[in-house]
Amino acid sequence: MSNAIIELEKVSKTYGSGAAETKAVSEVSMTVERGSWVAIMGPSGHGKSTLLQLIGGLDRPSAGRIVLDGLELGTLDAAELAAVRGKKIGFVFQFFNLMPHLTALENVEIALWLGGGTHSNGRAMALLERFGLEDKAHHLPSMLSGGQQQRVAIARALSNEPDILLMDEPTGNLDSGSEAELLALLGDLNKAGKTLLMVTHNPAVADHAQRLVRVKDGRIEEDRNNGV
Amino acid sequence: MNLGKLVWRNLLRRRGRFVFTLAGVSVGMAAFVALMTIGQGLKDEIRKQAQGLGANLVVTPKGWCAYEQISVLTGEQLPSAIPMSELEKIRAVPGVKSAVPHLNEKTAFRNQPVLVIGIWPEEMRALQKWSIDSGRYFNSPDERGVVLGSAIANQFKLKVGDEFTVRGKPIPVIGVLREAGSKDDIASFIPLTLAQQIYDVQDKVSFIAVQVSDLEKMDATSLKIQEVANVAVITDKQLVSSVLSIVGSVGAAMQAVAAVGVLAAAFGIVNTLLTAVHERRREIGIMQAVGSTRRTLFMAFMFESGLYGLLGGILGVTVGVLVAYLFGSYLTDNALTASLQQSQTVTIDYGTIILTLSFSVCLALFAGLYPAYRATKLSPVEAMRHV
Repeated sequence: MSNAIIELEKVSKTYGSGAAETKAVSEVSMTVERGSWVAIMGPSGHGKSTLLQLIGGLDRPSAGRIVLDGLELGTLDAAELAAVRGKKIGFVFQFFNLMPHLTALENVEIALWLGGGTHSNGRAMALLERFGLEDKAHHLPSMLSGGQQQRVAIARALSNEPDILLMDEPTGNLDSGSEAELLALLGDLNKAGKTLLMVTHNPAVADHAQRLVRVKDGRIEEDRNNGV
Repeated sequence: MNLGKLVWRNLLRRRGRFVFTLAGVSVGMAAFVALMTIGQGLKDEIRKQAQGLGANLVVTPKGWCAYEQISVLTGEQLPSAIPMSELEKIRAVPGVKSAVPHLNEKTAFRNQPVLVIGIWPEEMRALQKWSIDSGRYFNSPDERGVVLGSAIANQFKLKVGDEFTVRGKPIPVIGVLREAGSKDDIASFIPLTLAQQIYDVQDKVSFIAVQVSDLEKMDATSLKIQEVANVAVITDKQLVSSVLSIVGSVGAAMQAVAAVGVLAAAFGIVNTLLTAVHERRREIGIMQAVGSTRRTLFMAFMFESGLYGLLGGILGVTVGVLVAYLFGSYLTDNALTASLQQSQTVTIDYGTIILTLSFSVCLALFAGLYPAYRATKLSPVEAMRHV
């Protein structure tokens, strides 16, 4: 049995129709092994983020099959897909995407609630403590630094213990200190068995991944081991 | 974190907008409650007046309009059109227990209009079961004296022995009636013969209040009266329903005004929530990314909308009841109701309150449907779009 956690089979995504038709992702096939750390690189507007959205079930492909941990996303209805997003996947975004009117703690709690699992009351706080944010728990995102916000976002992404973390430019808005901290954190998570899929522009960040996939014009241009 | 907490946090994010939307709902609901309450108060008052009449049948001249019929209850001035000879015929009809003539007139006393009702003292007292608060009642059917309603005595600070004037003619006050809560409180009573003499309407009365000896035969008696005398007869129930139909149409006009307010409030909710959906589209995407179903999003907006309805309803009921209490008598001030003002015309009806609250919530939920639907139609990809 293969150890693949993510399988893409000739996945395409087309926006618009007729003359305005653009193919953001074009017949991409790839497999991601459980517990691996993959970096996706490529120029802006060449389909990296779209690929991530398709894998994360935020959007549906125009053609092709996506299988996530044995579940074929195309066969799921909207509610089932929402459950997959809540339980199997954790999203981390470049702009953190925290709810601006909720405190750090509440931002984690809302994911716990929406993920639908039953958790003890202290779980959200425990997650924040794990990332050194216990004294920021009752701060609004606007009162936190970029690095702190991104750690809250990772705490949120991990709240329902997903197997896969999908990250869109997670270090894109961080200073070099916070970036190094975050990469160390991601390294720990990967060692603990999480599968990481990360879109980035930064080759130095991509070097931390075990595998590098280059995307151009919606196709995979290069797929190689990083030798990490 | 749960739905309630999230909704509450969302609701309070734009406090100004929250307050003004809520104010809109409250004002609409307040208008609704105030008018319902006042309308109900009027109806209750009319029923009370009808009971105060003490008669089963009212004999009127032919061709009276509804307004004149109402005046029987409110004690307004009425044309004197029934000859005394008809009264004698009516008294002779079998089944008529008593027939008491009324001559409704008006006089100015200290430049204020006062109702003057000419009556047969003994028969009237038997019909109305009056009791005397101070002084005494008439000793003879044509005694030159006046018995005042309690409100009139209060208004002019009149005591037994003081002088009252009817059309400039001095008449001594011989007694004051105990407060009855009906139009009798705001009228002055003099013997019929004296009234006919002062108002120069010899031999005529305004209407005749008839008591029947057997309620079962009320209709037959009514027909018999119309056979022997050239008059119209209405039952007390017809009288009340005729009055209520007029008040009802006044109430309907008021309620149409309230409906406009309520509708505007509903549009306010739609507007606020649509703005909120637009503002939060990114957060809606985030929520979907962390596992929210469309149903949860829909529920969150419906819940928010429902809260506007509930809070607005509670505030509106409170304000509306207050308004009804403070201004009810002014709002209903017209010729029809002027004479009812002596007593409180506001009735707090718990049914109305519960009806209003549920109405408010249902309306708000209905108003929330479209914005909530719009929220569920947003793509989760929105969250990843770098705004």
